[in-house]
Amino acid sequence: MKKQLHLYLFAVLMVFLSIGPFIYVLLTALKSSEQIYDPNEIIPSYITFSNFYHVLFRSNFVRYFCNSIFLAVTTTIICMFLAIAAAYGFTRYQIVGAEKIKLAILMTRMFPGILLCIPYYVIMRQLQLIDSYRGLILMYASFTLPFAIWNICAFFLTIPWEMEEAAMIDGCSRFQAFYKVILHVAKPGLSVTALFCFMTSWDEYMYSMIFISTTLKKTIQVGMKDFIGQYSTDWGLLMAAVVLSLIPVLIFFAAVQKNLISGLSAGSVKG
Amino acid sequence: MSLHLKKNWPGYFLAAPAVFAILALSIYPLFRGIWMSFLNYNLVRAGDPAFNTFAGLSNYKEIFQDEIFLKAIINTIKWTILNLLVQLTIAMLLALVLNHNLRGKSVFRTLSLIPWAVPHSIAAMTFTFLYNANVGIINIIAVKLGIFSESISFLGNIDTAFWSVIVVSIWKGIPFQMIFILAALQGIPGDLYESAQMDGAGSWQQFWHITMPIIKQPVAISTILNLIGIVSCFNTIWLMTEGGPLYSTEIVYTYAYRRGFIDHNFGTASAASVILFLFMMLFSMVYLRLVRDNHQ
Repeated sequence: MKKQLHLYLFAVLMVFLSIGPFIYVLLTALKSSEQIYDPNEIIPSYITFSNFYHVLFRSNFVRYFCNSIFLAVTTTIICMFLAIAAAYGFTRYQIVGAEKIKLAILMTRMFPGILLCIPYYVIMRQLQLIDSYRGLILMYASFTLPFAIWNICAFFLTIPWEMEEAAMIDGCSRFQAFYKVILHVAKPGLSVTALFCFMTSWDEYMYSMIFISTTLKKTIQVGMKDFIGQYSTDWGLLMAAVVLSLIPVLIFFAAVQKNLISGLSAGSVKG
Repeated sequence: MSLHLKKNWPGYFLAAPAVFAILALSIYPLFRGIWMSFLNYNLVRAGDPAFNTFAGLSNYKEIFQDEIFLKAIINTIKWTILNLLVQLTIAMLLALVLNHNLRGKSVFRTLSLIPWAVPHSIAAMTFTFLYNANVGIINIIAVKLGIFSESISFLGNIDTAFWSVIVVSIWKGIPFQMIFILAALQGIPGDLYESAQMDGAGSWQQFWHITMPIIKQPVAISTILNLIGIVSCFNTIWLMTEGGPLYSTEIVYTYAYRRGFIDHNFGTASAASVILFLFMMLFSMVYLRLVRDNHQ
């Protein structure tokens, strides 16, 4: 125990650096505007919920929030559907050049977003998909799909074929065997992959800034800028919005964090 | 072949939609983007007869004669190397510590992953607030303790802006790198260390001869994945400084964005993005070569 003291100190320091900023953000969100500018009120002597009230009921925040949820959930569903089908095809059938195709898919992650963004703009204008969620979902899928396919393939490969065979001998159809055996066994990995897709879409900023121009269609990351004024910023409101916008991420994160480490690294360790 | 198809057609059928999506959404735009870097594509002069015609290398000539672009290249190299080195070092230390049997290990692990889960733009706004000259906690505490005589505008100052932004990028990147290292560490069987200890190997020797060779490969892959995030760290920089002040935080990515979506010149913007793409390819190839050579 004593020998490990320095390890504990290091771990505590890292945790403090990780969450410290958000403790201060939360404290600020609970302050009145006078308190924010008062250096003696680092820890507020009284708290107020007026910032939260204003963000929730007097701004477009809730609308932006729902927009982002819709975009992220739709992207995740589409991406998971395509990736699970492809991973099943790649791992349970013999496809000519499967390894090369998988590697090429992973390579597309190396394409810088800005290089794709410029032709996207030209293409989307031709297709009249600018300022529409359909266009945005397509673009989001382009950067979540490669990792999802790669990662799910790694999980399916760890499940022995004999398990499905046994289920089929017991009278399951091939689809039932897939549904009951593979999806069930790979659940932890699939949920982490879904988390990854959701968070990548939720996090996205540049594409939605470029492609969405209607105010009420803005995503939360872009809409957050409403609280930053050109000359002065109401920090209390902005920090309340930051706290609220972190809620879905933290819920999702808490739900899968147990499997996070093995889930995200599957493609690199076993693959 | 026909027997092969008869048996495996569902596989092709299942993989086709995803492969088609990637062809349409990544491969085709990539080539179109490279092609656009050779075109006159200045949207401000969209009525010009030369618009959308072949321009040869003139876009590349233009950006390489631009001092800001050259500065952005130097900044990108500095940005990438610093980010990678510091992130790898801290992530390695953290992973080694968390791989010990500490009490409350899972709590430490979960909480230290928080920066990864937080969206980039939220992190940028949070730190903009912490750095603020009037209300930021860093200035408040530093002035109270007498470290600074008066508060500093970290993001508005040429000498401090780059360092202030890179701190955020490093803070945000450590957990992702750590996840991969920790996963690799957990795969090392404990008896390897026991037998090494019996042979009298010190902890530094154990690390160098047992841990390093095993985790090298997965760490290489995670570093490449991480590199992509570092080089395209647009959100953090754009929200905190927009590449300023005086282009001191401009990297090639923000330069390309500025060219394309503020100056509306898609030709030069594509040229700058192609340079960025080449930089990433070159960097990954050199890196992979290094890792592989050491391995043999």
